[in-house]
Amino acid sequence: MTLLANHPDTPFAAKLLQRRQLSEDTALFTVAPEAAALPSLSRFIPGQFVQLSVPGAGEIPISPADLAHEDGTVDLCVRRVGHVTDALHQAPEGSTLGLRGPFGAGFPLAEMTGHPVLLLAGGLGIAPLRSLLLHLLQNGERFGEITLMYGAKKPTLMLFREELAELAARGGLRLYLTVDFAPEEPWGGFSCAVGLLPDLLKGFSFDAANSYAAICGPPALYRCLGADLERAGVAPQRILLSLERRMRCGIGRCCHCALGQKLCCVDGPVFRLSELKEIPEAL
Amino acid sequence: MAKTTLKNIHLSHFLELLRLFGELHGPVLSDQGVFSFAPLASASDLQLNYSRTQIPPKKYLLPFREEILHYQKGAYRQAVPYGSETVLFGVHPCDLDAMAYLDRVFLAEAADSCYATRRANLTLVGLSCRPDDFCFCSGPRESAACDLFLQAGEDGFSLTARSAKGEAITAAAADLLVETEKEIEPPACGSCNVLPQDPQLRFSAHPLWVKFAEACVSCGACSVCCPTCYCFDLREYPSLSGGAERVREWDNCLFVTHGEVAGGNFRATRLERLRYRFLHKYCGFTPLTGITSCVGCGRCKEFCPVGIDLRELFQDLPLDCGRTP
Amino acid sequence: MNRPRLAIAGLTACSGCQLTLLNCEEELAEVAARFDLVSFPMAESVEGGAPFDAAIVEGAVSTPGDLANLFRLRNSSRLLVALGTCAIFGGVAAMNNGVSTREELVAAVYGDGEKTVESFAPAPLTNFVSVDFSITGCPPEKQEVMALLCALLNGTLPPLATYPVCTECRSRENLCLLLERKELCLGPIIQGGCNARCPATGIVCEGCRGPVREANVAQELELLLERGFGRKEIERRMSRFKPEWDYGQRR
Ligand SMILES: Cc1cc2nc3c(=O)[nH]c(=O)nc-3n(C[C@H](O)[C@H](O)[C@H](O)COP(=O)(O)OP(=O)(O)OC[C@H]3O[C@@H](n4cnc5c(N)ncnc54)[C@H](O)[C@@H]3O)c2cc1C
Ligand code: SF4
Ligand code: SF4
Ligand code: SF4
Ligand code: SF4
Ligand code: FES
Repeated sequence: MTLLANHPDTPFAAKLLQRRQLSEDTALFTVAPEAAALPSLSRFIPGQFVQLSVPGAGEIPISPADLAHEDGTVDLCVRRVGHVTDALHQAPEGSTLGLRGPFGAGFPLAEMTGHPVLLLAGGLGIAPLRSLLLHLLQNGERFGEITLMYGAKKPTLMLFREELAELAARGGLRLYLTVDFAPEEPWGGFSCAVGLLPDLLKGFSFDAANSYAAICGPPALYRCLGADLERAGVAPQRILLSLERRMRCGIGRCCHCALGQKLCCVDGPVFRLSELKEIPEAL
Repeated sequence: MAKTTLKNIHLSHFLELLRLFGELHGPVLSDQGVFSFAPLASASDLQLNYSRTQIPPKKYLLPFREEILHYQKGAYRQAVPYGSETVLFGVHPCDLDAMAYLDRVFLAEAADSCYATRRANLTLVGLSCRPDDFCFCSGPRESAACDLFLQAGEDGFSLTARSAKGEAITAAAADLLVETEKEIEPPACGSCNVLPQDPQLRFSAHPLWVKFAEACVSCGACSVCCPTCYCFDLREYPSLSGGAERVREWDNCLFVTHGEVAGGNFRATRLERLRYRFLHKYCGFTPLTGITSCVGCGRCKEFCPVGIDLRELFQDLPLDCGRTP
Repeated sequence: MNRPRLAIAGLTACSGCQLTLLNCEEELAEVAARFDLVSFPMAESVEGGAPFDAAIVEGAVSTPGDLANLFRLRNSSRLLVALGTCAIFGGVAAMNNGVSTREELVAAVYGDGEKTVESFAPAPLTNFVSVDFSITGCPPEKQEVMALLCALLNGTLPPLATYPVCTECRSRENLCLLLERKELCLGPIIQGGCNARCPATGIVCEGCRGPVREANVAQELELLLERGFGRKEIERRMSRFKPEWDYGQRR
């Protein structure tokens, strides 16, 4: 039997180059996949996910927080929540990991060209949206106005905040940050509203009829933000949501990730609000 | 006229001949009294009139638990599945159709390599059946999803080759075959699987939804025994020496863990999970949307400890294909 | 590679669980080489010293000594693992909880004159301390214990199966004793992972591994009543390894 080195269910080796703690439970992992993985990884579209293996612990779906870099490295922003992520957070730099993908459908970039884009991220939802944001900014001339609204529970949980501030300062990005709770201690002097994302959206005037919106965050967020955006005048087929489901195989076989009759790993994880309306259990 | 009839007296010779094509397996009765597909030590073990085996032949393609990846020295490698050429004799049409369905899932683009290897090693010899009270189909039928099909008659079998392997078998068995004098009755009904259902029915007000949700003990039998249930869990276990194995194991959508993620469960109640099961069985997921995966074998009903039969949820709708004799 | 320091300790128990560990003969030499093992057999008090990466604790808590040892283990270990049904549910040691009082039992076991034995109703570890991981079974399955050790070596905990005994039982093509023989089998509500050891030999599942996470207890009770068993008999069987059940639970 021939071993298919590039079969989509077999991870490529990837070296953990660097680990940067972003908040108490979340870190940014830069990994360098072996050369054989690069052709497929270079086809990465923001919104797609990869399957990351931590040898001995298992495999999890992660939406890269950055485009495949020119040197082939990938940035993964991962929160420590359980079995595999625990092992990942303990892995020393230089460890061998596994990576396969990218899988699924990402954001419809071609279609979004020429339109203003509003990105709405809640909590860890910034991870997949960061790769979209970087793509939009890199190709700024091809898109309309780019806005990011990012909400976190408290200032210390606000990921990438220096980086985002820097991007905003360079121009080309309108940035709005908000935290659910005002902290008691001093919080590092960046400007940020206190309140929930939907409140932030309420006071925001934009070219709704022409805009695309991309949302990623905890499930509760999708329900209210989707409806709010529609009310503001964004067409439901232009409201894009990156959904999470339990995933095992990532390639449409294990059947853990279905929403309605669609499989999140194949048809998603990025869906249009218009598609989801047919699927009562989706949101 | 073609020589396609195997007289009963020649069956045991025919079975011996099949051994030339691989290890011979067929339906037998285990010591505990359970019908099961197992190696046929002798032709006399064969249970020609078996109703259904508890575990369907999917175990030959997708074992309950298997290592699919092996990690060693910094690299994951595909595990090489065990097993060699096998001839599976006496598979009923519903089980053959079920394997054809599994093929569509696992041999589609980027075929699953463990599955594909096992599939290529498997020769399927089908056998006509006689439905009993548990069967969901409405009459005997034939299936083309095999290498060779045997239609049972009064004093013998009528053979139809369905693949090159099947033709090779009939050619090798030429001496055992005689010309057909009287055609063995063709099956009365062509396709009597449970028909695809309307996905919206998962939200129907049928009181049975609640009743089933209360009664189901989430024992897993319905999917373990279903010839077309294939969803699986993946788990990874390290070894003391630093390597690891990734194991694939049958799962069931009625388990609470099936839709669980960090901080939530997308199918937290058993009712939601029953809907999921309904949807996958009778409506299909991408890319098999609109295709029923229930081949009507009747196992789920027979082996469910609380007698849940999901078809009752749409019983007021026609259950058969309308070609019932 | 540094060797994780492991404490292996027993509270009130039969030591059967620790035996499982010793029965991993093939691997024992390698385990000893890769771990710094410190063993605290029954009743021996736990010494201080360097902290442990994990403490694997067998048995239920039923004496003040047990409790003191348990607290010491908890305070000195990063991870605390409950090993075996007694440590998780009270187990066999707790079988008579609620049936006879502690005094009656002590009297029955040690004779009337004995008043000095200080003991209370055997209770699971979680009643007193936080437990990071559990391996169920009476005794636990060797391969689950090995999975734990291998995972600890990797800095993680193992993913163990969460389905009931029936799943493995059916997959092994056993005859269903509950359905076909109308016997008192607890398989549907009991945590699997034992590869249906008992039903595979024609003996009903007595529930030594404790309840599965989402046990439909009320339905199992109904099934057994339908088969002609008395409520008393069923409850007696069910409480053998776990004293308290919510018989109305339909989760
Ligand atoms: C498309 C997609 C993209 C994702 N992107 C990111 C990302 O960029 N950063 C990030 O930190 N996380 C992301 N996640 C979530 C991440 O996959 C889970 O946090 C991870 O699988 C948990 O694994 P674990 O082994 O550490 O936890 P486990 O020990 O398996 O479980 C901890 C909890 O997580 C649940 N869980 C198990 N599998 C999943 C799953 N596939 N998704 C969610 N929860 C699960 C368990 O039920 C349990 O409640 C993404 C998930 C999906 C589906
Ligand atoms: S759903 Fe039931 S009847 Fe249909 S194929 Fe599966 S086990 Fe057989
Ligand atoms: S119906 Fe349920 S148990 Fe069967 S394959 Fe589909 S998801 Fe799995
Ligand atoms: S066999 Fe019956 S009781 Fe068991 S999981 Fe399936 S539906 Fe539920
Ligand atoms: S014998 Fe017991 S454990 Fe096995 S399937 Fe039947 S009820 Fe379940
Ligand atoms: S993750 Fe396996 S089918 Fe989607």
